[in-house]
Amino acid sequence: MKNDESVVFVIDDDASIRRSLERLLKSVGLAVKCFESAGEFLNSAHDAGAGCIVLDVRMPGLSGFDLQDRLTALHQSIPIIFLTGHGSIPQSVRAMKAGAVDFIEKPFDNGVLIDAVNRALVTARDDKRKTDEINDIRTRFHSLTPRERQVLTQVVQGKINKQIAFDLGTVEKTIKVHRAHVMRKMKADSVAALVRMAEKAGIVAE
Amino acid sequence: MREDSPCSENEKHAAQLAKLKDRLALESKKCRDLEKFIEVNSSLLKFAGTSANNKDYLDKVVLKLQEWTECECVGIRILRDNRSIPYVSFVGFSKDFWEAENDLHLDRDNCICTRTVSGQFGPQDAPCVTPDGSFHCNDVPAFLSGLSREQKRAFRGACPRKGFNSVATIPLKNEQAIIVGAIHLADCRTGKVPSRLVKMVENMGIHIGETVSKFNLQEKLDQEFEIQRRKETELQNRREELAHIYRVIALGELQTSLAHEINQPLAAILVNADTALRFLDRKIPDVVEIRAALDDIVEDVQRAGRVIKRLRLMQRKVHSEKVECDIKEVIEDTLKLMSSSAARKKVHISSRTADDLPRVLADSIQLQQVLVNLILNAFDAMEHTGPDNRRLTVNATLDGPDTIQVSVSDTGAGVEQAELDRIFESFHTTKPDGMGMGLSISRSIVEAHHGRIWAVRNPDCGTTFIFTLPVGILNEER
Repeated sequence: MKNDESVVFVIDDDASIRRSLERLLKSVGLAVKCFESAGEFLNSAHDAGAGCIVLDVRMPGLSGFDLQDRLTALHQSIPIIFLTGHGSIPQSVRAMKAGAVDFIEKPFDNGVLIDAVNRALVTARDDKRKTDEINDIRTRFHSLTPRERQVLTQVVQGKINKQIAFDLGTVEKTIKVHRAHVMRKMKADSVAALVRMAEKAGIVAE
Repeated sequence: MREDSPCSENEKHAAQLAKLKDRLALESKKCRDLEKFIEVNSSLLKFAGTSANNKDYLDKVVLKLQEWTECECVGIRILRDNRSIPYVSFVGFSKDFWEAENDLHLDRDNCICTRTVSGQFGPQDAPCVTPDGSFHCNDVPAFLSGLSREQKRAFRGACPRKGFNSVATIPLKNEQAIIVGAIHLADCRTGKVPSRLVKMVENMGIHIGETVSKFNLQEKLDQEFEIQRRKETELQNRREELAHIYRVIALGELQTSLAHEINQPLAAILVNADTALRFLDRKIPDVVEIRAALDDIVEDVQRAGRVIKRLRLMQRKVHSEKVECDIKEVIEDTLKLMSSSAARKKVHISSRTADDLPRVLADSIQLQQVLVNLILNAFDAMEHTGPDNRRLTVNATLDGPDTIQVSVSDTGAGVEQAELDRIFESFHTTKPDGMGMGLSISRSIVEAHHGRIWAVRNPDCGTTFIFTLPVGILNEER
């Protein structure tokens, strides 16, 4: 389970809760960073990476829900586990709808929290892998020349070289060369793979 | 002639003597009547001074009039603001006669009583009406037989049906000569209401009328005072209810924040204890971490303890108003407070409290709060009970030598057996809009008085809430 990039961000205004959670999560080999308010977390230069947040609902200043809203607005899809005094149903429904992965009532069983954190980290890692892959494809796409991008677009639309050459006003032989460059630069071993990449990164329509 | 002369002279003297004797008898009777009249009048004066109200006064008057007039039945009708003329007092009349004839109204009914009070007689009454506006008839059947069918309609006929041959109605006038009521005399014998008697009663009528007016005025003032007092009580009730609600809300919020403050260290303790166990279970236990976790646990336990200590201090402050009080008084005050609410909700309240209950050391306001809680709950529980069956009973008895037991019983929907144990918990409620605080607060108050509170299902319907208060601790707490 150990993953160097996985950080659990504990945000709670209560120092003893913070300390106890840090001790617990470190004891099962997780990296932990503590913040005593939502504002402090937002202001810190944190790399969300493949981490998750353990968050107290009831805090002075920015509440747990406020933080969730801010993160959504910043397109940071980091899983959140809410801790609450006595959880009311409307609260949990709202948090869950906004993408919280868990809602745990204090006091809680450590196993419950650890399981929830691990589940959240799996989700986070999946998310991160997907994001990384997309970013990777996009980087490769941007390394293509404008002409090569035009060829790629036509290829993933299923056109044959002759058609592409006609459309771009050149000869089939030139297109063949461009196409080989595209396949190499995009690290695609088949047209099918290239199509999948284009779909994932959302560059089909370009 | 000479023979005759002395004889006739004698006879003449004898006749004169007899005449004089008769006259003397008549005069002495008149004298006695006058004496009697003066005595009756002075009695009436005395009654006027010693009576509390019209009813009290007229009750004495009718008895005196019955004795003096020697009529079997005497009644006094008083004109009310709504123009009805009920008998305020009467003697001799049978119950059925009273029931049928009491509720006469000047605008609706027409008989000799209504005409006497309104002072508007008809031509059929003329032979029996006196200059002062009284009606008297010493042979009712004979009088009626002389009337036409049409004229008879002006009489309800209640008196002749009862066999009253003598009937008189004498108006009661105040100093301004305004008629305020009437005396009704009735007797089965004929000739019981002669003019002379009627004249004397008329004379008394002025005095009685004046007294009745005065009492009427006093009663009106009393009524207004009572209305004012009731309004004030109502206002007070509403204030108390509001204060009660505020107190419930404040206590509710206090409990929520205290729950949070105790919950926080508990959560940390649980996490630390479990983490310490994890470190302990390792092949080489991490003593440094275990120690740190245990240190934190100690600190959090102390923190929770401080919260509870604060709560105790707060309670002590709340309970500083304990004084010796009489539970009977507390119950009576509370029921007074709730009476208008009960009337509105059509709940019949009864209370039985032993007279010799010992006094308890308690905060009477808090005990009232418990009772108000229980009574309001009972009202809610009886919302769907038929209005005739909404009964609330508050009893206080001595249970053993040193415990007072107070019970509040309703005829409402009742509580499920399974719920009975949980209803005293905070936030537990069986009502759609309840906060679940009332009973939990009641319990904390009763327990702060070293008592106990519980509920039982009644055998027929509804619930009985019972709480106890020990009496033997009067001096301990000072």
